[in-house]
Amino acid sequence: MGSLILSQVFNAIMLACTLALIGIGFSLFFGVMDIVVFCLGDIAIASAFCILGITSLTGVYAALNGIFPMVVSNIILVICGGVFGAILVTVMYHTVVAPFEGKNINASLLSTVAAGYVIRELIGIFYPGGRDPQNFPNLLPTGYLFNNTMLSWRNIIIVGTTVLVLMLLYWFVNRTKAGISIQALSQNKEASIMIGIDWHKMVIVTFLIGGFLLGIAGFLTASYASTLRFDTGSMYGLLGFSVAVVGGLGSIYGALAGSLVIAFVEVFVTGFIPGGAAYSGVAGFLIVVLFIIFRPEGIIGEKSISKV
Amino acid sequence: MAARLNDKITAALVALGICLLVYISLMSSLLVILIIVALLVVLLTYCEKTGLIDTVFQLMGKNTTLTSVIFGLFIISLPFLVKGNNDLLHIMIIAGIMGIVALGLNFQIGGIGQINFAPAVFYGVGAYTTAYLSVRLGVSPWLGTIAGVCLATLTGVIIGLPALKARGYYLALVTIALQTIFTLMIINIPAVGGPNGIPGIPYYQIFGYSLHSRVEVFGLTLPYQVNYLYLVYIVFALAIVAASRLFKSRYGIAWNAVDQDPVVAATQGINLTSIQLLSFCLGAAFAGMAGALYAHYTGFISNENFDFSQSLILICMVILGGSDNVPGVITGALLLTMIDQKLADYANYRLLMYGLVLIIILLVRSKGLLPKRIRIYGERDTGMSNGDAKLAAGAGGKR
Amino acid sequence: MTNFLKKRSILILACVVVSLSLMSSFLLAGCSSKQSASAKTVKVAFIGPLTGPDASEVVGPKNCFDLAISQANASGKLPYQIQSVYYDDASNAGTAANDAQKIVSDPDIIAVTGFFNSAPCAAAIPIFKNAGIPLVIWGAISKDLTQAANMPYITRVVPTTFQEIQPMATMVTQTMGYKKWAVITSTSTYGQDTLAGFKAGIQGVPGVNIVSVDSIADGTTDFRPVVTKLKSEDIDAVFFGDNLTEAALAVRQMQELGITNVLLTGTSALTDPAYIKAAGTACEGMIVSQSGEDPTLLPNGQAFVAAYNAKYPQGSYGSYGEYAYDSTNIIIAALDGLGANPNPKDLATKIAAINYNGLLGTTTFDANGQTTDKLTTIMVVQDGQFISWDNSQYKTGVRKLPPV
Repeated sequence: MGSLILSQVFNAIMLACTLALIGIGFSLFFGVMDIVVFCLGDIAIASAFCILGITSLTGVYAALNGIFPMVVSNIILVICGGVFGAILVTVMYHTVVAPFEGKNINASLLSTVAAGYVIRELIGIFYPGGRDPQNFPNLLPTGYLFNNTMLSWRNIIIVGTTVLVLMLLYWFVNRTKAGISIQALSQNKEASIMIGIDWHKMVIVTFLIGGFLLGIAGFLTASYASTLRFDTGSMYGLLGFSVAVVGGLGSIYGALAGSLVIAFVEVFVTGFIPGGAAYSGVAGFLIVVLFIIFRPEGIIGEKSISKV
Repeated sequence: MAARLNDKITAALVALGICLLVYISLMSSLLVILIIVALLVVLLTYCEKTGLIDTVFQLMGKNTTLTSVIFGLFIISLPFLVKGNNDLLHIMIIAGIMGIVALGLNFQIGGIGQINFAPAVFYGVGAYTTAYLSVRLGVSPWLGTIAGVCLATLTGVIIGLPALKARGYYLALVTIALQTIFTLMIINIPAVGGPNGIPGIPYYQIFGYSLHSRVEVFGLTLPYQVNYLYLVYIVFALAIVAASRLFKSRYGIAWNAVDQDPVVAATQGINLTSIQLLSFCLGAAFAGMAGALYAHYTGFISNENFDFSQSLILICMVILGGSDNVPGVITGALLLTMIDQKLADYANYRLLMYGLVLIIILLVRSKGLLPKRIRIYGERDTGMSNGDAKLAAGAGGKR
Repeated sequence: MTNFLKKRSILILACVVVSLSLMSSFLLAGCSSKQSASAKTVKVAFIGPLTGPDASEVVGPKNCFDLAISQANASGKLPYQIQSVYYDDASNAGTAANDAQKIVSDPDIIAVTGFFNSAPCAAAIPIFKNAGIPLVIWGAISKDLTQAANMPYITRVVPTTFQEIQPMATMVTQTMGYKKWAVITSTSTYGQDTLAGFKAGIQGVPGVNIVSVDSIADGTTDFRPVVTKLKSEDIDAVFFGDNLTEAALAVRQMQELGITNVLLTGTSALTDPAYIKAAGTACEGMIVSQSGEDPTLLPNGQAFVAAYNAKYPQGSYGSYGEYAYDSTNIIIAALDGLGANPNPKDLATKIAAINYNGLLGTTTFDANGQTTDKLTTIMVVQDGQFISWDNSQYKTGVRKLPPV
């Protein structure tokens, strides 16, 4: 029984890692711009499709492998996915977010939901066989550490990457000028602009970083599932938004805490309640509803929403 | 007197024009509908620039009897106009049902300014209640419908309660989460059919006459959809009257006050809890009624009819048509249902087109085709001229 | 004054709109009236997911339907030419119900053959039954679709999930002796139906029990919590009742977590090369059951394959093509002898009582409308290919299945 619980804890941590990065994406955009971009899940999935597309172009992938060792070429691929995510997010910003800035939030909410549909359907229509589930290539090393099936190299790398990205983000937000400007903007936009922070530049920087994060999130999720479906983006995005809210919208560590909560609930309901697999989704969303009703500021409440 | 007559003719012509537009959109292909929508956007923008739109609204408002007679005649003659084509009648029935739900949803989106992402839950509760009662327990469809409306209203309280706590994005997430939970629970509960849905729902009967029988008039055999067309549009008409009255009533004004600023509204003596719950409950009752109609019309329901994408389509109807404006919501429901049904021929591109149309209309007219109008008070009672009414509105006169 | 001007311009605008609309509606009316001029027609409808996730599965059956209709029209044995009409249910029950309403509103449609998915089929059956239109099912295999109450209108040429799973379930439990089972299935109609079919299949075999059942929503990619749970339960074998992608992922994740010494079994949903591609080496030795038989091995099969390949050089007839072909031919055979103006009710009675010798052998329908022809094949994955159990090295003992 003990080893079973331990194994399920591992499963939950892995699930949390795939959710944490997208949750941070939601928090980042909300912190700076006070908006929720609902199509982030689709952007992450689209980035994973970009990586898949490059590997399926046999000529390009073989050439990459010819020039660089396997590890380096795989890292280049992941960076390609991140760059694609960053470009896509910037395009989204200019088409469906910027035109509605400062207006009714309902319009930007709907336009980003619609943008998610557009991204998803474009993949489904134009990617060859895009509506069928795709096998995601195994770019991470196979094999196990200490011959323990929970400690596969892939899992270790996924956790490692998530932690690394978090640390880099921490360094960026707290130690660089751009990061501190972004923090200032999220606290008081008018005052920050007055002291000479270039708001538009910072918004673009945020979107580029967020997009890169999403690209990596898409890659990690697809690698962990070893499959890729064009239509999972909306649920992935919804879970990402949920973990951001449960943790505390606007807080980077909150997103991590939130993803742990949701992942533990879902995995333990599946693993320990007989027939619970069918109810894991219900349990996860019930937690979200309860959090919003009783603790809307989240686990790590950075920003109170009670403006009254 | 002559001017009065002139008004009447103009109002009648405008009403006729609207009917014809509906008819043409119904008969024509997707491309033509999209062209009509584009022309409509241009026309409306032009009318707004020149102020014509206010005049039109006033004309229509003064001659409600005349215009409603014209619209009524149009619906009555529709089966003959489309030569009993059951496909087109089906589109109109679905448009009517969607219209009822959208009017209810508008109490939340337009009224208190909160986007509720779970209207399909209300719609589904109404449908599932009556389907369960009439299929499993053999209750009459009419009683089932009443039960459906009641239970949907109750659901309105359940979903409305978190709305008191959360606003904006948080409310969006709560309602999306509740919507997802609802769909998952339907799939998981075998008593309501699970993933199989509920087939074989009985049809309505009036004194032993099943609404599911063909109609023979003037030597023309019309499909059974005709009966449902009339039934749905009678309910739709009642819903329109109720919604417009609510908009003009104390409650409608209180909703708008809450939308503007809840704190100010509360200090004015508005009970925030009850007034917000009211908007959810009334909206839910409308949706529950529509759901029951849908269940007894198609004879089959399943979780796919009431999922998140259905909610999204309903929200689009309200936002695209124009929130907090009854004619706007109706326009949105009619247009989007038609576009949706015609898109069935291009199934591979359906959702893509949906997304693109939504983004484009949001970019071009972010407040909808027929945006929210300035409230004008007291015009009807006193018969004030145009200028006086505006003056009264400017002075904040209250009926 | 300005007010007056405004009103005039509205008047003009309204007039323009009205006249334009009138013109275009006359144009439209002219176009539509041209189409509706023909003599008494007899239509047979084909319904299935022509678009959507299952579209690729229905290309073969649709071609087979066309093939059967064109063969009948060419032979000239009926006093009219049958027209074929197609309806798309997109694997969606609501769409199927709407399609069924359209079909029963068309007085020319005399019979329907169709349905790949069970949920749309269940939605449409009451509508066809009420209208008295015969439906012959070629692809939907949920057991409850054919019932005595639906006779004579609803019949089915394909074995049900229960009939399909039964021989395999008997073989692995009774003959091979696998006792402790786990089931991983889907919350969908298909998943719940295969679960019931498997339970029925192992019922009465002494000592066999199912220790865990997990129903997981379609589209799930992470099966590790479930698989981890199975690891602690010391099971002999697993039955997969869900669709191709989900089963492939679960099988792979089992291998990844080190569960390799249990027997894997599944349904006909997995007999597709795409499944083996997705599951990789993890599905080696997996046993599945499939209704029907390779047409080239059937007595009347050679002629069918030759005719099909002549008409559709590219593209296979798929897993259910043979059933679509036979169901259409049963309708045609029943139409023969009903005169120039057949009636759906007479047709239904004749179909229900038919004794038809076709591609799949002799088809008759029992009191529920279910075919009595229960042809099924058990297959096993060997070296990344599905091959018949009887020809496999697993049967001869050259290769070993996981120990009991």
